[in-house]
Amino acid sequence: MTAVYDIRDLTIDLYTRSAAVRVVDGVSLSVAAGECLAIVGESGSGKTVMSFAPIGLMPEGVSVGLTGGVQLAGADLIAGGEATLSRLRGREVAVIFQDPMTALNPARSIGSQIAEVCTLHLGLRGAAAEARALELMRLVGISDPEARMRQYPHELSGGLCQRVVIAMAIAAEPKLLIADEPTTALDVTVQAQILDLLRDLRVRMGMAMILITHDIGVVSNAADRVAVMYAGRLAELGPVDQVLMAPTHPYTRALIDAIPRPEDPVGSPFRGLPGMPPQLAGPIRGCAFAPRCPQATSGCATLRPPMRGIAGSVGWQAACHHLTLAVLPKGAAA
Amino acid sequence: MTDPCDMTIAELSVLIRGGELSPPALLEACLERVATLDPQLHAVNSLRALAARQEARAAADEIAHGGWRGPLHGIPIGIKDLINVAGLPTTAQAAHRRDHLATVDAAVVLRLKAAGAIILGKLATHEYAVGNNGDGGFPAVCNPSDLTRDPCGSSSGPAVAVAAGLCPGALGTDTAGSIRDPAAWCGVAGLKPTDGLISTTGLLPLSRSMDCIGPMARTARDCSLMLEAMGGPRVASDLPDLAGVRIGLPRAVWQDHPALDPYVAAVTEAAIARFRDLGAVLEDVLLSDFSEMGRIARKISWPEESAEHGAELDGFPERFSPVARARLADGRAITAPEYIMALRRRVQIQKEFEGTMAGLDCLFLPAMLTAAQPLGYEIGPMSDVDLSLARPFNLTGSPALSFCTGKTPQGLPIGGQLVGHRQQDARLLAIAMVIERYI
Amino acid sequence: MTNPVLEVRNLVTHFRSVERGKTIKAVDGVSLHLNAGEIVGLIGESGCGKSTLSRSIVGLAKPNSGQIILDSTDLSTLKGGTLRKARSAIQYVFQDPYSSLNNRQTIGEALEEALLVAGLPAARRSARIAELLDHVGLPATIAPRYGRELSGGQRQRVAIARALAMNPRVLIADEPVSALDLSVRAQVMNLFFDLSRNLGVACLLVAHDLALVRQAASRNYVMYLGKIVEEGASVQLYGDPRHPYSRALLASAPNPDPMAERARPRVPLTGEIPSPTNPPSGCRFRTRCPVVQEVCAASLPPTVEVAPGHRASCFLVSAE
Repeated sequence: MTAVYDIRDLTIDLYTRSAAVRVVDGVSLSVAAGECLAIVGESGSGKTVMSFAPIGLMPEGVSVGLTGGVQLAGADLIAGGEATLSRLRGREVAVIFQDPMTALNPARSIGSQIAEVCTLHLGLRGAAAEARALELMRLVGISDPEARMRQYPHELSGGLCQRVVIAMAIAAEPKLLIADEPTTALDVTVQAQILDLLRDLRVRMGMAMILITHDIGVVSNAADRVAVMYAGRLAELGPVDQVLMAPTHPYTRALIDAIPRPEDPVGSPFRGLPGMPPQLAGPIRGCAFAPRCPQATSGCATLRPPMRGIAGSVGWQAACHHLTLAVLPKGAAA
Repeated sequence: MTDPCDMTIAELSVLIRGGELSPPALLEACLERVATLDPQLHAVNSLRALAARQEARAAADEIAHGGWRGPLHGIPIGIKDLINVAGLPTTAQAAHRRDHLATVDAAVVLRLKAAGAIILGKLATHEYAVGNNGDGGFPAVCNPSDLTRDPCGSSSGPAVAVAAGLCPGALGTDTAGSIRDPAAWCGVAGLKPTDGLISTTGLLPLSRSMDCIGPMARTARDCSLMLEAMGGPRVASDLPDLAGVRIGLPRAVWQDHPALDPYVAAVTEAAIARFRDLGAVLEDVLLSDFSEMGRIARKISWPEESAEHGAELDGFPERFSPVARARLADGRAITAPEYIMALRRRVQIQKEFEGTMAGLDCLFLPAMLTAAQPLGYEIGPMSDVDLSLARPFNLTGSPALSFCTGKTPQGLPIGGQLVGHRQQDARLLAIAMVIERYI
Repeated sequence: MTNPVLEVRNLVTHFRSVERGKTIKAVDGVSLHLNAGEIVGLIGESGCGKSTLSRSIVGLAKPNSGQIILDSTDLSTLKGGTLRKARSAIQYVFQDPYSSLNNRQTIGEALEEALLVAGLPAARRSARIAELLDHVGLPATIAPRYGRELSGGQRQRVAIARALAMNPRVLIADEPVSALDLSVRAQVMNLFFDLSRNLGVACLLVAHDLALVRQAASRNYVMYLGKIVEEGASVQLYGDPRHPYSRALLASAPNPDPMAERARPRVPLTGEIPSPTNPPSGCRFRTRCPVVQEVCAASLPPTVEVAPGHRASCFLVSAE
């Protein structure tokens, strides 16, 4: 599989007036066409900055230092500068955010907003843009699109608004869709519909997708692979089945262990992690999870564990000094 | 037909291109040879049998449909176990890394794959490239010319694998002679290319300013085929003889060395005589202090090694055998000013060396002062003597080829070393290809 | 049997809609009760009225009719200071710990302010602050620090400590951990266990995370379009949901185990919750119900006790 989006050894420093913070620290990953990679992590894990800084989406007033390589559909995003980014955004890469309302203009009809995107990215005008807008609305499962086109965002439910946002995002058939908590603001029954829609579009259009989420259930439902981030670094990366069912990194294990399970007795205490998520500052010397890790030894505080493959599945990797040894036979397949 | 395991890449590629030998058949021959011989040699750390079989079949298909990619298409290549091959562990011959699966191919491995090479597996080295043969919980690698002898290192596995016909070519790494020394003791050819010519991305670093990845194969010609596939220059193979080729002989470096083996001296002189017969212009040259060059190289590479592995050394000392631990810590005795002065001296030495080389095509000297020593020599009385004449050319950054110039009466290979101008790896290999035709 | 500490009887809270002449029937005849030391879950989708219900209970929204009975006293019979004093026994913990603390106040000042409102003499306040912080598992040394210096989990604990300053009998916690990271949620949730078991506080836990509510609450109410459609002990409700809506809701949550997730039966629940300005006639769920019948549109479904304490309002549910 060829990677549509490829990040190599990406490091991102954010500079504010008073401090420099390393929010992403040496991350490598890639997403192939038609594939969904979930990025999970808690606040401060760097998952959002990692997903948005390379495509030039950062809050005003923050200066960003990027090193490493980021390639989108063959274009070098770091070397290319803002000119390349603005050419690619909307066309090759599109973004959907948690709250659909913030992405929509409350004062304009749904139809005109979708048509405008078609004009911007596809050069369609007038009736052609409107026809494409209708087509997109059907594609994202909006019933009675002719009537809906004339409605305003506040007249639609959250789920419908998210469908509109998705329609706008896929207007130019991007190669990569970055979805930041696309269902967090939605109800659980609607969440399933939106996740189904995103999967359907991804497969039909051969679009790569990065799904940023904190909800392991969403990962389990929607993703092919998952990257678990902690303190700006990858803790574990691999196929969803392996990572969620046999997590190897102590952080992934603790994170999954903390999810309430149906077999937990009612009224039994919740399992959590000791300590607190890391305060981001400069680069961390050893393993970022060491202060909270039950398996940490003295070396973990001084030496950063490299990402390494785990036998049993292609592309499954974790960064821990104490991964259990699974010695490979000589003839092991690779 | 000769057993394909005993043929060179150049010969194999002709057969493969012509459809007389299929990549799967060649691969199976190699795998069978590994299964037969490696239990004694211990040159192979891990095999990539399933994926390699798939790739060999794909290569056969492609070639059958007119898609021959070049001389490496369908050729099994082994990789020193310091270089990442996705899906195989990069053990660095250390027990604790036995399941450190690499996730991404090293840049040079990607290039080989793109050239159609079939990556066979990972080949033994020394623990972190600095330990003794047999440390790190792996069995000692044995010399195929005499199983009681050491193949030298740290590219021991690649040299042994090529010499024993486990694979026709292999990748080694050379920071202080680690390609050229085992090539000499095992009787194969090994090139340390010009510094920076071949990407070291995906190599477990030892000394970043000296680490080189280079080809190891039966012949200089095969090394040239591999080098091109690895991203190096194309080597013209049309040099008929050595007429007008000027070869410098830094005799002072070896002639009066107390450790020089008389057979090495004799084979070296015989080689020099052949150069003259082939029309080469020979010239005795004086290198600026050869032992100083080695000393400066150590003052640069040792602190870099400590910097690279110091944190792991402190955090997880139990991961290292005593020898590797001590060697990796050696650099701590060298102060920052000493290191900085050594870097400056390196620049001067490189200038002086260019002066010496002016008007010459290359230098010739032995690669090792002796033939292969018995296993365990590293902890015996011979351990104090540096038998290698390779390290100074890591300092100069020159391309340097070690190749077999003859054998001792016991049948142990003896290696000679040709050193060229920086960035003139192709010229160096072209000269070596003439020499190996007539030796 | 002792009386419940809080009882809500037939509560109705309607709003005027932004659309002229229309009324949002956010809470439409809800009855529930909380016993001392009990954690009770209130689950349902957004727009079901669960937030309005909790706001009505704490007095942040004005009910149109119905009774809120605290310790056998109907709050609608109280006025002025007496009402305020009674109300202070019901405290509200907000979802967002970042907006509920004043950034210019230290933690100690925020708690002192609450104690002042509660009428505690100045001399006893500092000892009480230490005690409150201890209750929520924070060191007393945190008192001089500012809210902005704390993590989300710490801030939520401070918010709970402030609620506790009023010596509440009832805590209404509206999504108390949904803004917190998974790894620190447990600390706050376990705190609710401590408060209910050790201080006898009754908690109404309003949350959308069903797995979390199942484990925390001993009883639950499921709400849909302003009405309670099912209630029961967690073991009954999550093990054997009877109302088609409860079934759909419980079946909608994706399972973190990928194998189980692939095997999870998909409930054909389409569309979204209808507008509360114009709820469907009869059973309010009928427009989305996968097993809807003719009868469902005609009249309100009966509430059937399917097992002791387990009630569902549906025509198709029968007592067994």
